[in-house]
Amino acid sequence: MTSASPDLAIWPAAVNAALLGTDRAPLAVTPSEGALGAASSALVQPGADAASNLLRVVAAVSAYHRCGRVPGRAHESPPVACPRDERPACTAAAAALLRRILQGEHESLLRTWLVLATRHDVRAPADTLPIVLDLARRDAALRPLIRATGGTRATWLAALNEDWVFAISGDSPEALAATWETGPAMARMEALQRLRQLDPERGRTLLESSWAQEDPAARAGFVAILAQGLSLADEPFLERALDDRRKEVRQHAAALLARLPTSALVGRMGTRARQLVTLGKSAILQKPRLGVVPPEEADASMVRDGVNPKPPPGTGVGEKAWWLAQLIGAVPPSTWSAGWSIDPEKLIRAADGHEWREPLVAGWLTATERFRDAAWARALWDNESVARIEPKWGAPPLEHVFTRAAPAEHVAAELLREIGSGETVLRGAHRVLIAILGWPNEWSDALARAVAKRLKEYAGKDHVSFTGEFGLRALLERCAHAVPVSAADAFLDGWPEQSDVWPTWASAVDSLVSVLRFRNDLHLAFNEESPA
Amino acid sequence: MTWTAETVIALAPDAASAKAGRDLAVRRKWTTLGVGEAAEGAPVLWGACQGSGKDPYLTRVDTSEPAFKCTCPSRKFPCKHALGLFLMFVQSSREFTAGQPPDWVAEWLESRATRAARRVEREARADADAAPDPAQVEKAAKQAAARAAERERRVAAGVAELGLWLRDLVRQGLSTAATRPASSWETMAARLVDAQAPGAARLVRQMATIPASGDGWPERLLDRLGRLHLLLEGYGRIDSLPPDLAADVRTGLGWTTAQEALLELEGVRDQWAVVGRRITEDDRLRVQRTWLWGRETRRGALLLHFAPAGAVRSETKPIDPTFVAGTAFEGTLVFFPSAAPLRAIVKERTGSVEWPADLGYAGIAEAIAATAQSESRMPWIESHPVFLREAAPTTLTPPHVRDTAGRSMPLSIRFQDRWRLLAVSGGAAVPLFGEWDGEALTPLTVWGESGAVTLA
Repeated sequence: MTSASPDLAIWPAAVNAALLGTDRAPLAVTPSEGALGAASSALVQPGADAASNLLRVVAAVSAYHRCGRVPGRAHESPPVACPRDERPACTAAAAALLRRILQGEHESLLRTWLVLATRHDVRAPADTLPIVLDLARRDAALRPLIRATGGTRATWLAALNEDWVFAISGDSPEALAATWETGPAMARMEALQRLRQLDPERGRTLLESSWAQEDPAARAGFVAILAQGLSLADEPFLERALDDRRKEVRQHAAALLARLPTSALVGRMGTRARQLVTLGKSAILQKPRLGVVPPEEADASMVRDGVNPKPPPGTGVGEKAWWLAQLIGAVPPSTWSAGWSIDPEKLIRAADGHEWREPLVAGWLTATERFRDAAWARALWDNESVARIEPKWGAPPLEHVFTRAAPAEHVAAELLREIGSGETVLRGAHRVLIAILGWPNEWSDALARAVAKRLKEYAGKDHVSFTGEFGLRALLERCAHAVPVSAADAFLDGWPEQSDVWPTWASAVDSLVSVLRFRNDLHLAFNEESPA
Repeated sequence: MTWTAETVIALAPDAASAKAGRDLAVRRKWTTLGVGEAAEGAPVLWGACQGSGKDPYLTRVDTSEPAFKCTCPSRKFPCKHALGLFLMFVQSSREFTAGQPPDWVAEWLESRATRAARRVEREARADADAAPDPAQVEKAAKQAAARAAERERRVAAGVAELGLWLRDLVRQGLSTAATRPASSWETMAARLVDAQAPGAARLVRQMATIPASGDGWPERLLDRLGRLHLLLEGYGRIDSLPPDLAADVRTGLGWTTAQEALLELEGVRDQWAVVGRRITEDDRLRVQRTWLWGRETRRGALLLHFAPAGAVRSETKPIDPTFVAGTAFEGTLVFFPSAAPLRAIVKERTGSVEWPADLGYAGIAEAIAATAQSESRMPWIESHPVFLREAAPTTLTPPHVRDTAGRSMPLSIRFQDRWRLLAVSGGAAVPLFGEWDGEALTPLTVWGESGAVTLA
């Protein structure tokens, strides 16, 4: 408000008088101070007290200021505008649903929205980007999706706010490589991750070239990123990383090499394992018999290849069994079945009652999941009595191995068959329930309908209260996201609302229905085929 | 009016109610769904919704006002059942059985009709009383005049006391004032409320926080003192002021204008674009400020709607959700008397129209000139409507907007939604509406490629 104009010298004088108080510093107005000064001195009445005079002058001058305001000049150059995005915007209906999600309605469906938008190659509305970017900052799984749907606008915004650097890279290998060279730490991680999706070779080459300069503490994280797009081409680099000074780096490198069936590491593990496990036949019945000689020690070369020498304390797992399980776990299970020309099934049965059953099964479970061996997955699933071992062995649970390693159609068919086969399958720790809950795929239409039918029968049983069944709550929550939209109708109606125990079910079914209806709206908003 | 899912949802008192209402808009939830015709021809809806209790909740919606009634114990208004029923109707009216309202609906309609009739009767009696009994009229008029005179007396006393208080303030100095506890301002404000000058009380309360507002506070406080003093001086010579300015002085002190009387006046007909909406809430009152912009008249107008604050269950109407930023209507507004009229009420809304082209100011220079001109006619305006056709938010701190001519306007430090503003603009010059308090702009609406976006 200050100015060099003589007229306005009255204002600082008034401020000063007001601050100190007119008792101590009455305002002196000299008539010489231009038109405003003249007007002000006219307002100063000789008879009136100093305070009234000051207030009158202040009233006039402040009004004078407000009426005489001139616009400011911009001192910076205009912002560099965001480049145009050629892709179409999403539909207005889809935009409205996204805004509802971001206001807290069905937050769990944000991912679904972004996946649909990515699939249809449309842009998220600009006004939602700040919130989505904030959410992606906390949830790394959303980042590739926001990079895909946020388009140039998200990239432009992210360049202005360091909280959002993960979105800077854009989506071309060139832009990602540039971020890797010069970006901040978090953005570099993101860039390497994305680059491994687009061009794995280039990603690893970049990492190799700057490896010596990287912060040793960050190296383990970078190696872990190579899980994305992993191939034999990464082997020489990972093999060198097995001799890194940091334990975390060595462990990550060994774990990655163990996932490549033809890597030298897997070959070395195979050589070790084949010396320990042999196949013979029983003398009388000529049944396959497994000969097992456990390793005597975990030597330096085994530890280098990722063998953990110490069994988990307090579990009673012996050292030799622990090492054996790890060696078998690092060898493709087909090594045994194909090598000896024998069905996995027969081998698994040969372990039944075996002195070394648990380490054998633990190794097979690990290896079957690791190398995604479908035949072994089915064989293990079909021989649960042999293939079930305690968690202390560190192997993935049978349900997990089956759903990850068996072909999706087979899993779907098997789960469908089992869920249709008896009513107890919905109880507590039954394996179908566990498998269904852990299966990340969207369900088939038939499986969803079978689950719906089962749930409704179950809810109608007078004696089964929902609150007592923890697995059921989880199953209803899983239904909300796993049921294909085409089968959503099976869950909307026909619940046994007259049942005595219905009140214990009602709120969980209501929220399931609410999510399914919202998902249906989402699919319609993206012009996906509407369910019949 | 025609209700849509969006306008129905906008009636919800909060986001949780909106979601709950949507979830209840399914056939399965309702054991009865009926629709009938109310007196004015608008549909009346009723439904029975099975909640967690033994008896279903009985829900009624009169879509004409709209009005709601439900037997549920919720303190939200309208409750989720009423929203669900209404939403169900606008989405799938086929599910409703047309017929005569059952007793529990008819009774409600009747009681509302009776109340409305009584109100009309009261008014009619007031009118009728006027004609036949001059003595009564004279008596009523005398009583009213006596009440008005009593208020004038009290306000005058309050104004005199405030004048004294202000003089004390500057006599002792603002540095001393800054060390006073906030309660000393509050005490003065409370005395002004007692003196029936709530407007002056509000101005005193606003000043209380200025000494703690950082650099430049003495100038800001002095500016406020100047305005307040001007108001008091204006009241001292109100009889010699032009009628419009006199009305501004009275409004500033806290007199209200009867809206019924305004509606009798001739209004301003135009195509009015809804350019911004903001809801503020204090402990008593929710206030919705809706800014309009006239196509031909090229001026801003402010509509105020009030509702009790919080989730108070009442039969009052919810805040009108039908003024949606980015829509426009043809209609007539009546402005409250003022030397620079801004506040208005809607006398008539004829129908929706296309969004008018070329609204607002071409640049910041024009906006500043226009607001300064209003200020010169009416020096107590607290926020001016500013609609810039092309303004680009800057990326520096503190944030500004700039126009294509290189003029700039600072944004209010209280403005929270800077990132959304940037996101929608993409750094380009876009249409922007905000409230300008003379120092800083508080953006309320920005227009992007998909239309108006309301900012927080």
